[in-house]
Amino acid sequence: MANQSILIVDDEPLLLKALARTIRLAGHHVHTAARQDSALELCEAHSFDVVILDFIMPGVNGLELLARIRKLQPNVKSIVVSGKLDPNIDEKQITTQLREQVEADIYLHKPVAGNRILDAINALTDKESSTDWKKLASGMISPGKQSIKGARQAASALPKRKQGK
Amino acid sequence: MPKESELRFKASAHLQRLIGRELFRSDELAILELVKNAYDSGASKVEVTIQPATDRLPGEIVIRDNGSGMDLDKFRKTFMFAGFSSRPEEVETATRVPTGEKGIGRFASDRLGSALSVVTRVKAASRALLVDIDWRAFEDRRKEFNQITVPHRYEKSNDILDGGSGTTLRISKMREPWGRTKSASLRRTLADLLNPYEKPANFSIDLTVVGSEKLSGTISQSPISGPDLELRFKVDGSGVVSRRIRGTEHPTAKEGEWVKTSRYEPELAGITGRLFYFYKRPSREQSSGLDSGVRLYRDGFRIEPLGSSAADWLGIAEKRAKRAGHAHIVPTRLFGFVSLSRIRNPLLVDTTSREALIETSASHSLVSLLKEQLTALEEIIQSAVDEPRWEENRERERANLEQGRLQALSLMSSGLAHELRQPLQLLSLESDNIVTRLHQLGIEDPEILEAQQNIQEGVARIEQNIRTIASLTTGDLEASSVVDLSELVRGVCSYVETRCSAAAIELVVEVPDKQEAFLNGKILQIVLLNLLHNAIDVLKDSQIPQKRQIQVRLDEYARRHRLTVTDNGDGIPEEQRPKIFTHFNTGKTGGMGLGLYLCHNMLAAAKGEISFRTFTGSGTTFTVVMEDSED
Repeated sequence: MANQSILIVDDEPLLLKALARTIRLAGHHVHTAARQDSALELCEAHSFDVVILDFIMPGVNGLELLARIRKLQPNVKSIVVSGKLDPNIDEKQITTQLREQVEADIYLHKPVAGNRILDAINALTDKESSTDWKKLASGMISPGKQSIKGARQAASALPKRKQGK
Repeated sequence: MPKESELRFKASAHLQRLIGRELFRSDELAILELVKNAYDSGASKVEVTIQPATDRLPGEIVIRDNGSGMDLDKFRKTFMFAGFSSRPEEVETATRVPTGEKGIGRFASDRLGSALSVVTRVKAASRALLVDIDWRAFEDRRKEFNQITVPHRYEKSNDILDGGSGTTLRISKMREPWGRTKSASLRRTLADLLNPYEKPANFSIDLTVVGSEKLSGTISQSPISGPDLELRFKVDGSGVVSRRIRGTEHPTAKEGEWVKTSRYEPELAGITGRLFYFYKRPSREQSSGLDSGVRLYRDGFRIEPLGSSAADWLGIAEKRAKRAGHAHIVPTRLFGFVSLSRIRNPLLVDTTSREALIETSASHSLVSLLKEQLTALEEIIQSAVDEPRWEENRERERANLEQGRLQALSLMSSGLAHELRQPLQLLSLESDNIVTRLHQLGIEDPEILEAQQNIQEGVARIEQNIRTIASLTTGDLEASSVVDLSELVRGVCSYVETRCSAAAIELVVEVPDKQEAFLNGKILQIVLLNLLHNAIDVLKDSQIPQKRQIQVRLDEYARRHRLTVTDNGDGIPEEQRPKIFTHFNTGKTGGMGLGLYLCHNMLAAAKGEISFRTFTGSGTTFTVVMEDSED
């Protein structure tokens, strides 16, 4: 379903632009933020249907940011993307985990094709969507209860790729 | 008759005891003296029989020879004349240089037993001379040496070796029991009596130990076999020393020539010697059962105990002890055979007890001559030992560097994967965006669509490779898990595809759609990657006429997963085949030689196996078998 209002948060400016273009070309309204504070500012000013954010950004925990955004916009849907989780772990498995823990709706591994992002947006906003994501979306728990602390714990509990330090 | 006014020495009968029973260090040495006497009498054969005491028989030792024997006149002049021995030039068997110049060997029998019975017959005599000596008669200190009389008689006797001329000494009333150990020690001493490199001509020793077949038989003197280094030296008539060093392994000693090195006093003229050295402790076969040490032989007979383990007469052990491991000669790996002659080197005389050389300037010169040779040997050993060690250190260093590089790569890989995925994501999205935008602008072009699909395929390929690298360099190397081997093999193969096509190699991958296994997939990935890279390296340099090809096959039988990698290259050279899985073996330039060694070890740790078949000119197949570890 076109014409949704989307917020994209990613620390990589080029990628942010590309993703924004993809979504905009599909007919949605797009706002972008490269930093946590600007993302929160945007959330205070606008209402979004879907927020797309990178799980792990420098200095920002994506899940923590998601929890803060949810405080401002309890009904926003979320798509979490990351290139840092083990790609051998199934996306659905991570989605389930994230949904249980921070009520994130969909998880996608980077690199993700444009049409998959769009499908995910459709799945979260259009109940008539026939994509695979519909089930995931319909299984959503009602939003608004989890704490920022809980998000932090959830983030650390997730299977992270081993870091080089 | 002596005049009353003249002063004369007289000897107590007790003197016999001093020179006979108490002079020689051991019973074995006493027997050696008697054997040498037989040699001096021109015998070609000596038989020593040890009859240990039993319940029925008293013990005895019999020494028979087929030498010239003695008539009564000669017996009187020689055997009964203490301290007498023929001068070398007087010896009737002119071909032999007598070994027993001391003239006391016969008294040595007293050390063995108190009764000596001599049977001796000269050539063509019909009867033998029999003399019975009871050494106990000499115990009376008040009696003079020459007051002791011994009875003699003539008899027809069969107790002569070979029935011709010769002498038989029968020693009884034994002083010590002759057990196995003592007999074995005698056998060793006899075996070490003659110089294996300069055996006295026409002379053999038989030992019979009654009741022990093992210790009985002809004594053989075998040379050292297969030493790593051989040093030979000789002193010419004017005292100039020449030396030649040869070694089986060491390049500088491989083709050693005779080189003049130094000059010594002419009294060392004619001395020759061989020193043998083993880099590792020699086997019994190599040492011919001899103890290590530098032995000294005079006219082919050993001067005991020089060169035995107890005698550090050249100070090798002392040097080693002082330098605490820095000395390069290990005494137990050194064997030496030094020959001198009673005629040419009359100044080199051993003590009456046969325990050492009498200290003279000549004997000091001999010791320094030998020490000089040892130093020369040591230099060679040092360079031979140090070089491989240096090489080994360098290889270890290289291995450490390689290890470090691997670790850094592993540390980087997670970051690297992320860094690569970001731009990949960008490429992927933007290529989609271009097409979408063109579509929105009303431009539909199949070329543009195909270009976009190509970009997406490239992105997918890079992503696959990133996964392979990431999974190789991180994670638990010991864990087994459920792995789809087909996917694993395809992933690794995809990773080397670019290399293959750059080298004009066709990569044929034959795997089932899915082959699940519970095993350590990481190891299999590493092994396969190694095998593929090796195959590519082999093929890219090969000049084969047919199309270069690598086949990768995966199948399964009896819960074992079999992976084969076959190239159609030149095959593994024959000399490399036995050591293909060993450390630092590489036929390639620039390779570490670590790959297959590590593969072999990793597989062994994961209960897997790796093997190969190779055919010169038609290629090599490596086969990896891993068991499903889920029971």
